Amino acid sequence: MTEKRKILVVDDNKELRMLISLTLEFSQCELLEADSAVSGLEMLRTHQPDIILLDVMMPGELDGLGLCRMIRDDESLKHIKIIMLSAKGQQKDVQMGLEAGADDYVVKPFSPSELMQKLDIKLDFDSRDSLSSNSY
Amino acid sequence: MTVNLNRHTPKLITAFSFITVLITGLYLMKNAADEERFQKQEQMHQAAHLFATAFEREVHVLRSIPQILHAQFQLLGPDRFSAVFSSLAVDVQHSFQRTGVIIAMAPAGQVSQVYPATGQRLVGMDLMQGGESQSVQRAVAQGPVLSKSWSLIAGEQMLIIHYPVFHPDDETFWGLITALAPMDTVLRQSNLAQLGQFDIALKRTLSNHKEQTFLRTAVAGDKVESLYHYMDLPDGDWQLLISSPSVASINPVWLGWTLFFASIFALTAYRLAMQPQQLRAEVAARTSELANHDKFLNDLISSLPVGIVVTDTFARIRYSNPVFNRIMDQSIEENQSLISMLETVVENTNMRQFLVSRISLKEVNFDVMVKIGEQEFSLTCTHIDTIQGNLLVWVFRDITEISRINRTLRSVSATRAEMLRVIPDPMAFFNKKGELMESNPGFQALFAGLVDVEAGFSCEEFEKQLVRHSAKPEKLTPVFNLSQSHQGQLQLDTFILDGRPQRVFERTVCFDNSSNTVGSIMHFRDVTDAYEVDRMKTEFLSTAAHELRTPLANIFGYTELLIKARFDAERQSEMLGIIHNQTRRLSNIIDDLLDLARIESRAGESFKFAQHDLLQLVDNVFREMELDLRHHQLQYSSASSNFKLICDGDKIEQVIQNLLSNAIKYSPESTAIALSVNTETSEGKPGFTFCIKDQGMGMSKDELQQIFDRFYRAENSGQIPGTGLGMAIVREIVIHHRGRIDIDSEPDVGTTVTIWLPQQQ
Repeated sequence: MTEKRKILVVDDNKELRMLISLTLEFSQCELLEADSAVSGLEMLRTHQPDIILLDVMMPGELDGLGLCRMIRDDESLKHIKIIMLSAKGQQKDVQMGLEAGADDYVVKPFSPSELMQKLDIKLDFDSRDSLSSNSY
Repeated sequence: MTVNLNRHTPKLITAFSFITVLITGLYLMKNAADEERFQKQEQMHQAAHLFATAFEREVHVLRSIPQILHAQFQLLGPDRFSAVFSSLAVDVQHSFQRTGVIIAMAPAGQVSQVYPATGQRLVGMDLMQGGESQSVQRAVAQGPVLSKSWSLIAGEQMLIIHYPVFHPDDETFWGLITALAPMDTVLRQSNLAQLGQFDIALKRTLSNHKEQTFLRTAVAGDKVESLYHYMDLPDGDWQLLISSPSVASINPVWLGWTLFFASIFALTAYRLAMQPQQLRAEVAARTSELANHDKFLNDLISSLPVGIVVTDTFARIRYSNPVFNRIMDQSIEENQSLISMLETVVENTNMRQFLVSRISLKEVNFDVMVKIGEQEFSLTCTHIDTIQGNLLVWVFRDITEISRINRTLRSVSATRAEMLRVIPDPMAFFNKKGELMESNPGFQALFAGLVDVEAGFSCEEFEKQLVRHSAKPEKLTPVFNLSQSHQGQLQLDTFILDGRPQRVFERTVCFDNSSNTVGSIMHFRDVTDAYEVDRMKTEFLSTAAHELRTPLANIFGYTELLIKARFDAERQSEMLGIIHNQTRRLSNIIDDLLDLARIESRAGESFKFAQHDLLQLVDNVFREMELDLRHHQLQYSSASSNFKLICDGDKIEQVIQNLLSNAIKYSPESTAIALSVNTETSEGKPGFTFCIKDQGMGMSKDELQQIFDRFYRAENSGQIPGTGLGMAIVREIVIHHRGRIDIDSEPDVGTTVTIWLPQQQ
């Protein structure tokens, strides 16, 4: 591994961002945090993360789905992997998330270790770099 | 000179005398013969004159009738002509005593209107069958034609004149007016006795060349002179001979007339002689038929269920049937005035005036409603033109029951119209063809922009418009395709009318295949409210689930981390703190949700209304929130000390607490929170207000709009804890106290919430 992978978490809930942060505390990844979709978009452009953990329901003009679509429509951002984190867990919500361009959709509440496994897959980590085995 | 009277002198005298006498005799003889001839000529002249006069009169009568009719025909037009003719031909029995009678008309060469007639036997048909068609053709080509005499089934010999009638427009042949003159009358009036000195003979030559004389008039003298007339009769067998005894010369005109009438006479005699038996039988049958026909007509008129009375043009009664007598409930005398009679029984006082004016103006063809006792009649009066003169036929038809049914129908129809008007649900009736028959005001109001209700439209057209104006056209089911296969009521679809706000209708169609008129009834029920409630419920559940899941996600996540990973003591404590907070948040949400649900579901019925002092309630809240209030400056004022009102104390405390809590949470520390309590009368009802004013972040107008929405948190609420249910609870409590909430807010200036509560519930 030559450089640290960057993971951006966009969620208005401070406790949840901290949960992700603690989960990744022992990993070699760099965690970026944004509390709204708008600030998340700024960080995307400046930091170019590898993957984004994106909440759906956030206050403000732009919600998670909107940001997801913007990423997919933006040539410089569309390569970024997106995992949606949402309390909206109905079938149609999942459907909408995937249609908006998410690579995966995780329903809250979720197991942090399971989320790490999903990150492993999306980041294409081998067992040495694995988040799920190294994080805690 | 001596006269030598010799013996030759007497001879000379005798001879002279003889010659003289002879000459004188011859002269006298000649004179006598001349005198006789002159007398005969005189007689013949007189007889000829009589013939000519009688015949000409008949022919004039015969020819004038068609001319009059033709004139009427031109005035009235072909369709009315038939009716006029019928009226004229009514009383042919009477007409037989007259010299001329119109007996038939034959439109387009076909005898159609004949009299007498019965069953399949028509006099006019006989006329056409008797080889008369040539006469008809001649009439068409040359004008009026007098044809040979003709034997009527009813038992008379007739002279016939065919008078062609042409359409006034294009002058095409329309038909014939055929007029008859009775032969007997003609002959009688012609004074045939005058012909006594003529010999009229009807003869035929038999197959054995023997002559048979059938008829001979006058003296069958042998002194038949050379003057005679000879003609072959139409059958080619018989010949007619007319001769005059010892008349030297004769007036050819006189002879012509004589020959003509003698021919006719002979022909008549010939016909009579040929068919006496058949004729007598036919006359008997015909007479019986006519009598039966008369009886039938009388019976028919008597048995008709309508009152019939025939009057003259002054309304004097000539005839009335039993039904009319029953209606009037009195016996009817001839020449009694119908108007006077009606005046005594009809309630309408203007009736006499009406009838008298109509009759005097000769506007007698009318139809009016008259009320006699409890019964209602339709009275029609019709003018008929008969040979007996102008008559009026009055028909009284009992319409009591029909009127009653009509009134009932009108009342039912009015009730139905009123029902349609009152029902707010849009409704439309379509006929079998799918065309609009009727719609109610509800329908017209809703769809005025989509279809032209005044001009009418088809079901198919309407549905196209529905699709065009529906927010979800895919949810619509086209009705016009179902109409063939369905019967009865069918809950069809949900129609969402595009617009703001969207309105939702449940569409029901009732197909009525049993009715001849109504095809389908379309009914719309406004379910916007139910739909909205449904939508809000779904949204609420979704939002509630989200709100519950967020703290759950943290509890779940942090506990998993604590279980699986080793964090230092400080971290662990922080994480446990988060779990604790999130659990409290969950608990608060559940409490608020339950509060809200309880208030809503019982619509305030569970409230314990009692008398409370508003200031006391405020004090209770202050005490409870002492700790929370300690960082703000509380400014408390009340206009009086008596604020007693009927309310649920706990609930009002909750309102004050929620509002104070918001003021504390959304305004910076050290700022002032002002709470004032005042009396205020609203809409005539005495009550109190308490007003909480903060100097906090405030809200935009858009945010203010959503303040009562469940789980709504303003944009800038950020990390300020809250369930988003507080204001929803406040609103529910105030509503169930019949109170009012006013909120004023300006971003970065502050928010003022004023609650007004009535003194009494």
